[in-house]
Amino acid sequence: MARYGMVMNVHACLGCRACMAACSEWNQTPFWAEDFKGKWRTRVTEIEEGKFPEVKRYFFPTICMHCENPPCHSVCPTEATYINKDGIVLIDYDLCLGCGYCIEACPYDARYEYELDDLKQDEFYFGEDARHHQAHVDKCTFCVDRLAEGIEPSCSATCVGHARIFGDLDDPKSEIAQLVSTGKAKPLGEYMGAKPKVYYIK
Amino acid sequence: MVSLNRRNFLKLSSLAAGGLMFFKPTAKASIYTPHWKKPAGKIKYLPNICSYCSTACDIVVRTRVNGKFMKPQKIDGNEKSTYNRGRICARGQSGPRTVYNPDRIKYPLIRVEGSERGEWKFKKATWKEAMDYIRKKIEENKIQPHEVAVFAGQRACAYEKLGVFAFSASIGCPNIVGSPMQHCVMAEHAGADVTVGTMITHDELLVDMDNTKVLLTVGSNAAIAGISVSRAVRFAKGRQNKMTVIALDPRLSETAAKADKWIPIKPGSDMAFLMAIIRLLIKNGWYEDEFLRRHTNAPFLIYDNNGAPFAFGQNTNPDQFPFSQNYYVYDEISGEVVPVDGFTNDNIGNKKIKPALFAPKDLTFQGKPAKTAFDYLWETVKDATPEWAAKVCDIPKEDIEETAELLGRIRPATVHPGWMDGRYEDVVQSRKAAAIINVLVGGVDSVGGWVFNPEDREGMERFTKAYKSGKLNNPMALMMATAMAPGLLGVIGKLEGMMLSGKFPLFRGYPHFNRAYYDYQKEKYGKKAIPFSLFINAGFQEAVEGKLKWNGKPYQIKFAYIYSTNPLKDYFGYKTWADTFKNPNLKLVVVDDILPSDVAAFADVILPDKTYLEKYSGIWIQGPNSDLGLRMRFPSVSQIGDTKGGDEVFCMLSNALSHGRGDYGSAAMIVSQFTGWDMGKTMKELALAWKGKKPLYKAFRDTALYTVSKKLGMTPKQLEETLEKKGVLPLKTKEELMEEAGMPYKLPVPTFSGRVEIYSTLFGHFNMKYGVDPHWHPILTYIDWEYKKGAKRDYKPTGNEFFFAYGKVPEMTYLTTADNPLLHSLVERHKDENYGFWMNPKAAERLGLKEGDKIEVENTVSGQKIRSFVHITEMVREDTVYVMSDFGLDNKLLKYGSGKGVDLGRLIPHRLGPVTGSVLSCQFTVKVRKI
Repeated sequence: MARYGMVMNVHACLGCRACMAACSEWNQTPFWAEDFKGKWRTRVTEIEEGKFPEVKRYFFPTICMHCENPPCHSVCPTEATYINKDGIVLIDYDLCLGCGYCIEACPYDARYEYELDDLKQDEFYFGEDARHHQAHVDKCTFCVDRLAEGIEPSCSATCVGHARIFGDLDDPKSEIAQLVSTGKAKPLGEYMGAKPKVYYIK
Repeated sequence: MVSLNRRNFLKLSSLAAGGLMFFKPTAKASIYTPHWKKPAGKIKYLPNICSYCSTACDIVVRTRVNGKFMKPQKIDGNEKSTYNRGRICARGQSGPRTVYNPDRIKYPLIRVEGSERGEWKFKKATWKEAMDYIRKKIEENKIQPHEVAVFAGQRACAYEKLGVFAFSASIGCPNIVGSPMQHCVMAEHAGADVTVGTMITHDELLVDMDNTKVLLTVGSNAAIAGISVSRAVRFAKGRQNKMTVIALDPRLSETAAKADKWIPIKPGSDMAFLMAIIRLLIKNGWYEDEFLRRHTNAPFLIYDNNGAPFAFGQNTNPDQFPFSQNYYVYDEISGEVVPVDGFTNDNIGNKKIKPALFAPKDLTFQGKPAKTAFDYLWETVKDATPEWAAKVCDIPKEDIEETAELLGRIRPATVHPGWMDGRYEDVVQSRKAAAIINVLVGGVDSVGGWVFNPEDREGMERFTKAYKSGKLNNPMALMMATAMAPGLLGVIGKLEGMMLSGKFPLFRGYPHFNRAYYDYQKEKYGKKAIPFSLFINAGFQEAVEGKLKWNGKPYQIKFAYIYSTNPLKDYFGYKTWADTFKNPNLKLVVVDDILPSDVAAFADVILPDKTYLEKYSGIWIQGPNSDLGLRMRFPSVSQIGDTKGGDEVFCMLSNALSHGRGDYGSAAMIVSQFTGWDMGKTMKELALAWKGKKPLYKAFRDTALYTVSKKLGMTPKQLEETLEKKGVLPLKTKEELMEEAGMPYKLPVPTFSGRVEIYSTLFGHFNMKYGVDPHWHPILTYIDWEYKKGAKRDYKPTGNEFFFAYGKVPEMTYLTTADNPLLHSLVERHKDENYGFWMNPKAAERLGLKEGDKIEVENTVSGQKIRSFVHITEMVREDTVYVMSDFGLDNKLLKYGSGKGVDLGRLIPHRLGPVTGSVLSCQFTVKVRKI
């Protein structure tokens, strides 16, 4: 039993998007979709603020917040969305109807549809190693299958700027627990009450 | 924000709800689909070395192995590596997408009889057919070894250089073009190279940013957050440790975005800024006095030699390397001029002297007025006030004063050594100025400063010992030892000793075609040579056109072998290159590549290369890593199509050019000289490679394992297993190496005086050899070049005219990665900033342009015009337009990369710069029109 979470240090994000590539390579997310704009489990969005020369440029990483009170969970008609023992919000693809309620319920835009055409493309790019075999709603899993092998999620493992800090919020010695308990890192949109386990240093 | 578009998916789910049992509900919760049969095989982790840029990160490839079948599943950084510290960038992550790119060339292709080069009409062939074709052309046209030019591109230059050298030695061909090096980093590195002596073709040294407190970056986004992971992890750690970063850049780059202070300097004005910094550092005494006196040549006495500074005591013979018996300093204790050793790391040693940084006024020596190198430096910068520089750079003067104070008062401070940027003819001088600042603040081989790599230390230990022993007194021994020395010494040793002299026995009396070109230019136009020109393409056009001569006979290039580079784009000046490759004087053009590049369309034969994940390698050190570790590639892909490694092709071409008798003996000699590998073993293994019994990469692997294991007291098998298990075998830490072999504290640095050089002995030598020229001024000079005719440094473009700047995106390595489907999708997400011209909103308003409006951009110097669109952003100066250089491929067979973004080769002409032959990529203005 753990309570996994992630801290995103926006000051540290270099904007290299290694995380997006790492996630897509491991989870075979549809980078081909929508004429190669792609569908992603994690994104880095660029923000430009202010006027020249006082302009600032930020890179803002987002991901499923793995909320403790996830709206996506409560709207799911088939209980396909569930929370595992480590607090990770997951989807049982076999139970997923594809109704898309969860996609609309998620305030953080963390979910998308893995469509029939995406399955074909998945096979085109990954051959017999394709991992998606049925249409479903898709989202970040904190790389639960990597965790099962004792390796860190794909995105934080490769984060060059050390902007993504993954760990167990219940382990007081962990870097993430310290950043959260000292109040340095705070969730996005706390007022919505979803209780995210992804925290931001902004 | 939330996608409301249900599209196909909803249609599907309604069908499913209607009873078409598409889903098979199970009670078992899962991710992915547990009842789907997993492909057969076991997971194995195989180490490799990333090949996507010249950083060369340590990686581990999760591979599915089923008997002989292997397929990579995922790449991660190697956690045991102190180089990239377990991290890799998007390019490194996307490796398998190039291996399995559907556009890949999988078998040899021969151009269809009767078709034109450039048309892309090819027929599939076997390797035998392709090689027979090549042999036939060589024989029909009696192509001699010196009539071949090898374009050794990105992979060849950074990873396969041993293969290139072995090939060149085996047939006696001097004509290696190691470009993109020439256009990528040569000009930007040269200033640092001549100051501290570093220089390893592509990659230099690491800055110990973990411990730096103040960092100045002059452009160089590509070297840090733009991205080079080994540097970016140190930059990130430094920032965590409260490093203050000041970034000079006309646009808000990724690195500048992370800086504490972004200074949006006017393009082309770095030199003025850096001179003003040097002035303030000297004026306020913010320099490391003891270091400068002892370990640099700042105290060397200098005289004026026909308008150029030259060191007393320096060898004046232009046909010899600039090693010298003695130099001279003014001793403040005795008040006399005293000699110091010609080659040493320490001016003082055990002597009771205090070399002066400033000579007494009116000092004369050997009948001439004498000043120190430091005096000369001060005289160059003394009028470079912050007010003056602020005007040239178009920034507030306070930015200059604050930067100087931070660099001057806080330690450790450093300036990043530099990487590809917009290039003007003073680039070498301005990078030299940046290097001098780093020397003044003591940032050489020190905590928080520039740290040499272990190969430099080992090489300098060997060279210094040989030099001091007197064994190098005969000119041939000195030439070979210098050519095999590390850093700058090695570069000049190879360049002047082997490539340009026309006297190196292996090349049968022929120099590189560069030399014949310089002679032609001098005779015809009275032009100076390009002195720092190792492996560059200057003169290729003329050599093809038949304009060059050597020893009175025509020196013609008839065969171009183009390996992993795309000259049409990488070298700028699209038309120049397209015309040259179409020239019928070129009897044979062979392209070896992974993907159908633009230049491949101009080939007679295309050969399919293997990727880094499909090959073994020799044993390499970890590039410029400050720690010493060994590493090796282990393949994790089984055979794809009918591909062969580019190194195997070298052996085949060598045999084809020498009628089946490629001289692997000479190849073995050169390889063992470069690597220190056992000569007998190298010879045996290369014989196998040349006879087609073993791919060259396996021959290198086995030779390296044999030799290196002996040194480590292991068996080759033990060493191979260790490397396969860990990926990196660490041997010594940075701290141990700096303690044992600090440069210049314990050992000379690889310059011709052994010191860190404020006065470049090499540039002094260039003045003697090629004539005096401000571009290779030995100390520092301000060059008043023009953006275009009549547009001096204070030029302010108005109306629709702009300065031009370019850079790269972190997801790409210029054009080499543009067709990777995953990387392509990463850049498509923010394609406006990647494919269009950045323009400040004020300028856009003036021209009536809105985001995405189509524009025509005209180069006011060359007249070239291209079409693009405008991306409006506050992140660029009002007088500048900026564009990414990673796009603009043509070949329609590149499904992902073709036709995207801007082709800079059609905006930037092939106009070589004065010192290193790197294209003057920004020395012009552009006019922008709405279309």
